[in-house]
Amino acid sequence: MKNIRLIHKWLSLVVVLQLLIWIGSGLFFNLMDGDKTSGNQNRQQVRSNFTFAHQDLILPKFELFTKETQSIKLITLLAQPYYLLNPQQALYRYLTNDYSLINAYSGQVVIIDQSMATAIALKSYTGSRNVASVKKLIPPIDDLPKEQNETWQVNINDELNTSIYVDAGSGQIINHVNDDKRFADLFFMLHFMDYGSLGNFNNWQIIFFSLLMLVLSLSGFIWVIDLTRKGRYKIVKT
Amino acid sequence: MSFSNTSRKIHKWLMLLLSIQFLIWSISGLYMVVFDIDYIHGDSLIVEDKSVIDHQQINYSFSELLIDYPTAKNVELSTFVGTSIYRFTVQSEQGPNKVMLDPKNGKKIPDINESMAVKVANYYYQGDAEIADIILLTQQAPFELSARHLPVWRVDFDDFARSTLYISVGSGEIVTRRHQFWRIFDLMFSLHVMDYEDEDPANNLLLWVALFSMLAVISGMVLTYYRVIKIRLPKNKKSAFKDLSQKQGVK
Repeated sequence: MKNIRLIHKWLSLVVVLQLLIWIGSGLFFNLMDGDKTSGNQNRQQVRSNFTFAHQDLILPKFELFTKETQSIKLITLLAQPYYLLNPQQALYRYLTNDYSLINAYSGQVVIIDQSMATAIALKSYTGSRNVASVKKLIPPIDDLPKEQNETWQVNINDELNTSIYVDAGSGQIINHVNDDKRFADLFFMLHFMDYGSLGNFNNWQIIFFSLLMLVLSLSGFIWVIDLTRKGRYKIVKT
Repeated sequence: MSFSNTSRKIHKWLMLLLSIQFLIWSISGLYMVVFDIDYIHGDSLIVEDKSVIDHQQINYSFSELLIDYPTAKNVELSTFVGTSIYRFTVQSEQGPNKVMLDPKNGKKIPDINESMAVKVANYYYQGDAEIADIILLTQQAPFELSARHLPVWRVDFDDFARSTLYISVGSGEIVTRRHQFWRIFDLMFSLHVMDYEDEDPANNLLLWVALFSMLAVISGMVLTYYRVIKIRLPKNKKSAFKDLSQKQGVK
């Protein structure tokens, strides 16, 4: 029992700060407003229910493809139809993808430039459309730790400093991120000990501290049982 | 009563009630960080499909498809079990419906039947275990599957992790992958956030337990300071001696 108490005391010294962070951030998750921290206060669904000029769609000219293709999607961007070609479909969207975008009327290959990215971003945004800056980012991207693809960042001059992220390859909206979401993400980073900001919780430091924490809890639990057995939990003062 | 003594009492009494939850938090937290999240998601259950669209076989164009199915949404030409396929959704009274077409002639590919589901499961499953069970689910989704995927074939494999693939009847796609370690992860997550009452968004139980835990940890921190740090500081040697002699009953 003496050793258990010794372990408990010394481990507490090592773990205590992270333990406070864990409980503090856990409390924050419990109290936070999920709608506010989603980053989507000013996001709107981009509707695409207009009719195509079907007869004008050209079948993708396969002989023009330089790469073999796994998937061709018919998508709409800014009310225009496009074929989105993917040579190697990754399991998740954020993994490296090598899209080609082809105008479905003309058959021309389209590269999403700054003005197109800005227009796509603003279509998904409801607030005052005051663009502060537009940048093409190469991963790693602070707001999107998992993202592996080049991404347009359209920064809006609003109260929450909203950034709209557009996949530079496909033109799809990845995410809206604002200061409320960034604030919540800080707590996730702390809770997951993701101090390298890799966007995951399978890092060695959290595994190490979780192990120490388990030993701390276990030794404390044994201590409580020991105190109970020795009759040290008494309401009346002796 | 000294500050140290008050902290000791607070820590001792709070932990009588909270130590079990601390143990649960530690065990569930350790489980969730030790298992790689991609493994938990079942990414390694399925093969990376390398099949590409064979453009010799595409005789039916996107425009023809949209003329035949004017309400089609999310139209995609891709591959399915190694051959080219069109997939899209049409809105029906029951909700969105998945449709498959053969790009050779534009003919509808029928819903996935049992033997086709077996073929799909064996094609995409990464491993050599046999299929243990296959059932069609139409009405009720199990807890590990979102009801929007129904109807689906549930294909269980006879492997170590008791893997299950869910195959959409309408699209033939593998809509969900599960195995025993995911199921345990799900349980661990519920324990970690004290989700004992189903779908209670406020989760006041967690709030109060976490608040008292904060107090318990702060009181523990005070104890750590007094019992581990302060008694070792040189200028407090005297009080450390006093503390020790008190413990041993020497006055």
